[in-house]
Amino acid sequence: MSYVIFENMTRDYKQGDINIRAIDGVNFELEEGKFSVIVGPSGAGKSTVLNILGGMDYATDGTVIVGGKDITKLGRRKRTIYRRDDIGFIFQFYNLIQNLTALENVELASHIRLSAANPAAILTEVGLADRLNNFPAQLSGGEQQRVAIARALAKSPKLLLCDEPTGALDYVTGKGILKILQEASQRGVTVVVITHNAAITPMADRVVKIKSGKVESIIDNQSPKPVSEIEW
Amino acid sequence: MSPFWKDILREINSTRNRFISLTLIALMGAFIVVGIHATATHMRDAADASYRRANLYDLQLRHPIGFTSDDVNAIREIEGVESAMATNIVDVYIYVRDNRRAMRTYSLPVLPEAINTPTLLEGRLPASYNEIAVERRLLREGGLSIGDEVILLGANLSVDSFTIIGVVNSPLYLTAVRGNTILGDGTLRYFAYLYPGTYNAPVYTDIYVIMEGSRDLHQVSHAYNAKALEWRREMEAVLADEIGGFVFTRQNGVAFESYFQDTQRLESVGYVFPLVFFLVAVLVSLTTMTRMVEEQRGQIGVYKALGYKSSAISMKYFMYALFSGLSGGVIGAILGSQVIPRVIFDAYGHLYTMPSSNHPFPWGLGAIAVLSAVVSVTAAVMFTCIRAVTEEAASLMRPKAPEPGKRVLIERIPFLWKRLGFISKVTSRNIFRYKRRFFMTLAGVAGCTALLVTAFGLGDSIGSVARLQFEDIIAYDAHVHTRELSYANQAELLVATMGADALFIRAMTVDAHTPVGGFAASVIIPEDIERLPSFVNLVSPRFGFLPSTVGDVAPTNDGVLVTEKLAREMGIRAGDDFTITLGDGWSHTVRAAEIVENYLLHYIYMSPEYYQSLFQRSPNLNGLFIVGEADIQSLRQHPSVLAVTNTAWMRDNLREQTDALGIVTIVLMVAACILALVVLFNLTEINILERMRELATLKVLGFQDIETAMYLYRENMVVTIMGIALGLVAGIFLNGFILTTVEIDMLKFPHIISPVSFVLASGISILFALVVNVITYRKLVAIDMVMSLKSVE
Ligand SMILES: Nc1ncnc2c1ncn2[C@@H]1O[C@H](COP(=O)(O)OP(=O)(O)OP(=O)(O)O)[C@@H](O)[C@H]1O
Ligand SMILES: [Mg+2]
Repeated sequence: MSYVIFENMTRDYKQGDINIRAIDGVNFELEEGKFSVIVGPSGAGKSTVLNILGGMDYATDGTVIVGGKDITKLGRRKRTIYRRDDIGFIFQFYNLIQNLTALENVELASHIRLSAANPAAILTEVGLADRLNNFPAQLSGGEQQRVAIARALAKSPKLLLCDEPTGALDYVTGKGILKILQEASQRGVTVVVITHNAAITPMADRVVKIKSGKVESIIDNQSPKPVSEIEW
Repeated sequence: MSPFWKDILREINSTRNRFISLTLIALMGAFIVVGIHATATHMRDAADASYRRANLYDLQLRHPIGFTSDDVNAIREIEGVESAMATNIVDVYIYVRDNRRAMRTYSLPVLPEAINTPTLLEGRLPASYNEIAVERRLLREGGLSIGDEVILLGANLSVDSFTIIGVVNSPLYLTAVRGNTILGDGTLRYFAYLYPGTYNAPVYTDIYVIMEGSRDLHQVSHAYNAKALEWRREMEAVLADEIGGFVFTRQNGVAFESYFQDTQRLESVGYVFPLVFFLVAVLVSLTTMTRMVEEQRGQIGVYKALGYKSSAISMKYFMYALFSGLSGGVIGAILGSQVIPRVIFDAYGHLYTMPSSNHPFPWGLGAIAVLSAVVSVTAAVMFTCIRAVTEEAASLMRPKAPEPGKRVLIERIPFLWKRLGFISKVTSRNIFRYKRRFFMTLAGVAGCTALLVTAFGLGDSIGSVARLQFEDIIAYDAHVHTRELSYANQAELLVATMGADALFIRAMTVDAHTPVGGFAASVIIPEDIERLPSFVNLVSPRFGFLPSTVGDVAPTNDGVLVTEKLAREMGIRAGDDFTITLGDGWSHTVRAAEIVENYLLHYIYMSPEYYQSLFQRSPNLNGLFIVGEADIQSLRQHPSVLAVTNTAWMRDNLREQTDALGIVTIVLMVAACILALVVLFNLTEINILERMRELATLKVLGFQDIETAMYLYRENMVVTIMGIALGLVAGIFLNGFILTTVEIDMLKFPHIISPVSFVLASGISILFALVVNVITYRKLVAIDMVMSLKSVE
């Protein structure tokens, strides 16, 4: 059985009397330890899908099964524990805490997770060994995103969810980030990346195309390319 | 409606909490200003109206033998006298539930002069020989009612059996205190009015006089008091060479003067407290408006890019603040003028029999209060807007760069920093990150704690002044006032006070002065200065939580002991010289050897040897202090005894007076509490708003609600505790300042704050911080992760 299963998942936003259906009966599955990409035009509903998968948002209808349990049935507390233990989130704009150093930002995650990895070691892994004590404002965008990835990885998550992780970065830097993410998936973490840059789809094991709140296509790559071979 | 106004109204609506808290703070300031001052004015106006209604006397003339009708006519002829009314005042005994009590009877004032007309509460006024109008207290304590018969025992009454036909209030008795009498134990219990013809003495005991121009003055004012002293001096001069007798003004009647002083004390409180309130309003407005302008940087940028002038853009924020300040100020002024006078007047009502009159809205005062409220709220807008609005449109439309993280001081002490846990590190870094908010919260909490300490401390001081003066300082149980005593008198009095400890003294009233000013003081010359400490506790004044109660100042022969407030008012210290002027006009320079603690009236203690060196004769004794159980009854019988002042009675009297001021402090305390809540709530809410993104990030990472809350609360609690510590210290000073402001003339309040007050003030501040945190917890829970993280940082 797949690790992630969306079944007929729907998400409505009520705005006064108007009902906006952001997601309209989405069905797809993602495999454990694989690198998946969700693509689609702006407003298609990609972020909504990812937020619901990450336990940040609620589905209006349908089920989302992760590792055998239906996360749409989780209560507030259990949902938080799910986010804490199973999920690592990475955003386009990093969302680091400005007042904490790189190391402390990572410690923040390990602080609440018992089976956490060593923060300094993880930062070293993402290539920031000599920037441990810098504040986010003292780091470049790429470096900040690497801190964010380290923070997500520090919790040893099962799912790494990335919403446009390279959206604010240049080509080379973006590639560096994608490389780290691909490596993570090779170590067994299930990675999901949202992008509207179709050029990076060849590196994914599976590509889910979403359009107007519906799944348009699901394509599996038999031989995903390493990041270094991708150009855009 | 123009889009401009729509925008403002929508803004107010969407930031309701913020608008309300800003308005509430402006409201509190205006509420207190108007309330306290309106109360003082109202109290004075009520008294003014009531004195006029009763046609209250200006001068009271008294003669040991009495005045004849010729005397009365002569006085009517004196220049400046508008009218004079001869009357009889006779003290009698009345049996109240088998106890013999002293009662003062007055001949009912009649037309044409009708000076000091009583107010009829029930029944009617006496119209024939055997009718009496009494006060309600007599009916209550005697179990009597209208129609009952009472027997009066006293001289100069043509009958002794009277029918109660009415219940009255007397304009001469503002308080429950009835004063002294030469009858019985010396305490007067009741007053009553009799038909004038009931008195059968050939002379009148008293003449009440109303002076020309008196009614042109406000009856409860400094101007009146000054004028009254002038009239008295003139009248004394006239009486001296024709008729003889003594002259008294209203100020000699204790209640009139203390009522006036109460209103003044109130007013001085009413100046200091609102100042603190408006200062806090400025602070809160500054944080609130800064936050608002910050939130709308983008929008301001758009307006600028569209070509709006800076002044037009600022106008919106200015109007927002103006609305808030104006509505808060107006509501506060109206509420204050209606609620506070009622509450305080009620409190004083237990003390003074003063009918409340309807109080018109104090327009001038209200305008000042509203203006202060508006200014303190809008001033901040000017400050924050000018900065934002002068920025370039382009830079405004770019999001403001997040404040970079900074190292804090303790990080530079690795020894300490290493020991802190991760969360403590984060907390200490965050506390110092938002400096402005940090200082505002600190100031807010400290200000409120200081107000609470002050209010509780005022309660302590006011509550203890009577005890300190009449239990800790004054050790004698009674002061017997006598004529100048012969040796034989002294021996007889010693016999009469057998079993108690007595010290003969010479007491005289002098004008003690330095170039700084002159003050009436009592000089006490004990027969034996070494024995004085057993009768008066001689303590050196000290600033502190509790005054020493053990005498530590030794009486001396090479100077006098001066009480602290007198020394302060005259601007002298131990070792300095000052001048005393006696009633006969002679002046002497004396040296202040030591300063001693004292709370009521001014005293100068002088040894007989020092007196001898000043006056070249030994003092003529005219009184004695008594410690212990003396037979007051037989003392009173002694022909040389004029009056006995009982220390316990003095204490209770002072206590009653100061209790009313306690109510004022409760009003202030409640206001301080509301202020504290609003400030804390406002700051905590802004803290959450400013850090939405940070908090949402924590939630995404998997912080439970309570963990997210603790992340913030730890900071709040540390700042709250720092604020409280600061506030406790500031409170000591504010309390001292206010005490010095409210003490008037001869009353000094001890600068004490009991430990309980500190604990209560801190406790309330902490409780408020907790309450606010609990309220804002819901806001934390409601933070939407998706929404908060969506926008660009
Ligand atoms: N809180 C909300 N209230 C109302 N509508 C919403 C809300 N959040 C999202 N939507 C709508 O749902 C739809 C999907 O939004 P979503 O953010 O998932 O798109 P996206 O695919 O991530 O787009 P982008 O590539 O621009 O990030 C959009 O039409 C959006 O307007
Ligand atoms: Mg999106």
